[in-house]
This record gives sequence, structure tokens and C-alpha cells, in this order.
Amino acid sequence: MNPDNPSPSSNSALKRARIAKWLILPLAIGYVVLAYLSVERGNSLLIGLVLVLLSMIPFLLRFERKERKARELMLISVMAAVATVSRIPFATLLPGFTPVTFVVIISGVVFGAEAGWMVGAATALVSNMFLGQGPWTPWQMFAWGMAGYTAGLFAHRSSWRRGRLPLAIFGVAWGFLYGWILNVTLALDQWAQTHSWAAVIGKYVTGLPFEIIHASANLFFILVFSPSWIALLERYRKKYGTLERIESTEGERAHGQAPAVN
Amino acid sequence: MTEGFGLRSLHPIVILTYYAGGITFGMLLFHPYILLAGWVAAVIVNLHLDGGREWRRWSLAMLVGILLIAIMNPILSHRGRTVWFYWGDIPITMESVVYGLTLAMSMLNLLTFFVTYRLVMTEQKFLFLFSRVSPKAALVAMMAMGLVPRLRRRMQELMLIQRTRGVTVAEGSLARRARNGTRLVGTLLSWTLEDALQTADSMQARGYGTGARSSYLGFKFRGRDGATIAGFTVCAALLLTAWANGHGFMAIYPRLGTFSLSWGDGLALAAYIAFLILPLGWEWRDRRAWLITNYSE
Repeated sequence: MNPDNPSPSSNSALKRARIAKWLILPLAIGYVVLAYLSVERGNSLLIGLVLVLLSMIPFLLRFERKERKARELMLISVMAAVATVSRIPFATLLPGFTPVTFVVIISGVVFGAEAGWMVGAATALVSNMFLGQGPWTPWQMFAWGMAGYTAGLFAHRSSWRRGRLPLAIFGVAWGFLYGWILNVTLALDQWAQTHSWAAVIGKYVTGLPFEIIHASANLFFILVFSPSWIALLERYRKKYGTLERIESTEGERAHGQAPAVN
Repeated sequence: MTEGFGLRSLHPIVILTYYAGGITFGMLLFHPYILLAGWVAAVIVNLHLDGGREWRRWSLAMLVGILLIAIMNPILSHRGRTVWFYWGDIPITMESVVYGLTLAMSMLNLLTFFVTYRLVMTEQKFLFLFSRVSPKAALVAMMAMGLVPRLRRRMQELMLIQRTRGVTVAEGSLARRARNGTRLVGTLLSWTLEDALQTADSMQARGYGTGARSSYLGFKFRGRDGATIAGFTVCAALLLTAWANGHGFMAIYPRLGTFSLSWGDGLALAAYIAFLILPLGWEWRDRRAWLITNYSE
């Protein structure tokens, strides 16, 4: 791409982007067929990964379709970066006792479901760029993304649900769900091997200690810190008029996104 | 070595194809010998790229993970005809042990291959690829990525300064340490939000969102990229043909089949290894070119 003549180059970039988007469809179909054939032969490694990757497409499409201000994107990346870095001070405590899920859930609560998904997915992607990418990255993106997304849906209904107790229950549930989602690969493999529920449940039971640590971390962080964090983020959301939640009226939105003079 | 050399110099699309293909085939094939060969190939790729430094850093974690898989499988899964012995009243079958070992081998193979992904697929290449498909999400991920080192520095600073006030994660009860830790993260958050929004305003002022985004590095699709893609296609076609005809995986349940490779398994193995090793051709070629130009001076 040539920076000297922006208009033709941006046109060709757009065209190429469109081609890239249409390439995804046949690729996705091909992969689903391949994964299905693989399952038929008793090998389930591929199918989970393919389905998880496909599940991200609707979220990404929705995120892309809307006009986004630079501030909204920046806010989401700050939350993702803070969630990534928040692992550092806790590295010396129990392994797995980190506020990452807490940060993701709070972002979903304050900035809404879509932003919550994006924070969760970006956190997984970015933290793995430092800790090491692996086949687990899509699963983590899915799990954390869904934690943020459901947090947005959960808290959106009534302001009562943003209280300590309802959020704490929600956090504990996600402490377990997160681990269960990440275990799906191995559990599916157990199912493909033995077709017995006992083996699948056995697989999940062996992971239970980690899930309990994660759930108690969520419980602790939400009980102690959720009111102050929600207040802090709420203040930034109002001050800078970014990521207005769905219930805000059009007038408010237009007002909020006017260039701030601070 | 730097970008612009060997495997790293290929077009991001080619690199994406390489990793997508390597992982897909690593998951499709399920035969201990093929996976072992794939692991050896992955190690060779690692050695070529950075002398195996990154791989060694990961080897302990990988070893623990695959040992857990290999040990847990016979305990959880009791399928198979040949019972070796009873552990308590849990039957340990030969099939289940072999399956566990093969699964562990498959994981080890995938993880070792993935180590090189981090070396080859730089953030620039990633942004180049995904800014086509999903420009906003790619931008968010890359901005977060850029923020992390800065936030890390700030976090170290905060931890140092707050320690003088007695806010530390190094001593006290667990609850107290966790509380202090989150206070540090909260401080970091409000500090960062303040100037991140200034950055966003600066982006807005410089015309963010007025047109399609280009990427800083323009990658050109060169002859070597086309040749590599053609090679990949041939290997993939051979491998998938063998696989579609029922080769490339071992019958383990209900009764353990033979370990020996059929001709189709051999074809799958050869195609798989050729696929993994193919881009190293550029690595060798560039190394030679480098030596020759140095000697001729």
C-alpha cells in the first residue's frame, strides 16, 4: 500500500478486505466437514476448536458493523491490558488466584455486553502473546468473552443486579464455567473414547480444585472490590461519554460523544 | 535472526497457512509414529528459528502437561480388551494406556509446533492479516498489546512506592495480600484510563475512522510465497487423500491394532513432514546466500 495516494490504495484495501471476508465462508464449511469426518473416526480434537472459532464470528461481525469512536476502542484495550497486567502482583500468591475474570466481568457490567465480550476475548489473546499462544487461546477467548458478554446481559436488566451479592454469585458461576469450557477438549476426547458419562465426569472432577480456586478468587474480588471499581469505571464512562449502554437515549448519546473539552 | 530471512520473510498469508495447516494435520493424524515424527520436525523448526531457546523455556511445562494426560487417561477410561492389571478395582487396559500416550504425543507435537508461532507471527504480521478481516478488533488487540509493557513498568513502580506505605503483596495474610494487590491494580487502572483517553483524543484528531486503515508494513506477495503455497497445497492434497482413504490413524479401540505403518500411513507421514519442513528450505537457502555474499567480499 502506497501512502502517497491514499484514495486508490484505501479502495484496493477495502476490496481486498471484502475478498478476505468472503474467503472465510468456504474455509469454514471445509473445516466443519473435515472436523465432522474426524469425529466419525473417533478423533474429536478438531471439532471443538472449529466450533469455538466459528462462534466468534457473530460477535466480531457485530463489533465491526457499528461505528466506533477511538475512545471506545481505547477504553476496551485499556481494560484488556489492565486485566493482563493484573496477573503480575498475584503471581506470588496461589497460582490461578488472579483478578482477570473479575476485570472482565466488571467491564461487561459497566460498558455493556458487546464491550464485555471484546474485553474478554482481547485479554485472552493479548495475555497469551506474552505467556505463550497455544491451542487453548481460542478456548480462553471464548470463555472470557462469554463471561464479559453474559455479565453485560446479566447486569443490564436491573440496577439491583449490580450489587455485591448477585454479582458474587455470577462470578462464582463463571469461576466454574471457565474451567469447564477449557476442559471441553479433553472431555470430548473422553467421550469419543469411551462413550461413558462416568469418564467425562471423572475428567471434570480432576479439574475441580483449579475451578474452586478460580471461583473463590472471583468471589473475593467481587465482594471486596466490585462497588469501588464499578463506581470508578462508571465515572469514566460518564466523564468521557464512551460506550453508552443501550438504555441511554439518543440525545444523551449525541451529547456524550461531542468532543470533550474537559 | 531478523525478519526478512527464511521462514520469517514469507508473506503473512503463507505463514498463517503454514500454522493453520500444521495444527489441523496434527489434530487429524493420530498415530504414535507419525506424531513422533511430527514432533521431531517441530523441534527442528524450533532449532532453526532461534536455536531452540524458546522451546527449552517451555519444555518443563509441556512435559508436566503431557505426563498428566498420559497418566490420567488409563485411570479414567476403561475401554479396551486387554486388561493389564487392576489398580484398586480400576481395570488398567493396554488400549487405554496406548491411547493416552498417543494423545499426549499429539499434544506435545501441537505445543512444540506452536512455540514457533510466537517467533514467526509477529504482531505486525498479525495486525496486517486481521486488519483485513476485522479491523476494529485487530486494532483493539494491538493497542492492548502495546499498553501491556507500559502498564507493567507502571505496576513495578506502583508496587515499589506503595511498599513504603505498607501496601504490599509480599507479606501479611492471604486476604490482606489479595486486598493490597487489587488496590494496586485499581490505582493502575485509574492512572491509565486518564492518559489513554488523551491518546484516543489524539487519534481522533489525527483522523481515526475517516478511511480504511492501512498497515505500517506493506507485505508483498513474492515469488517465494507463491512457490511455498504451491508446495503446501501439494502436501495437503496428498495428506488429505491418504487420510480420506482411512490412513494416518491407528486403530486402538476396542482392540489394539498393529503399530506398523501401511503405505497410506507412510504417505500421510511423508506429506505431513514435508509440509512442516518445507519453509525451512528458505531458511537454508537464505543462510547459504548470506555465507556466499560474506565470503565474496
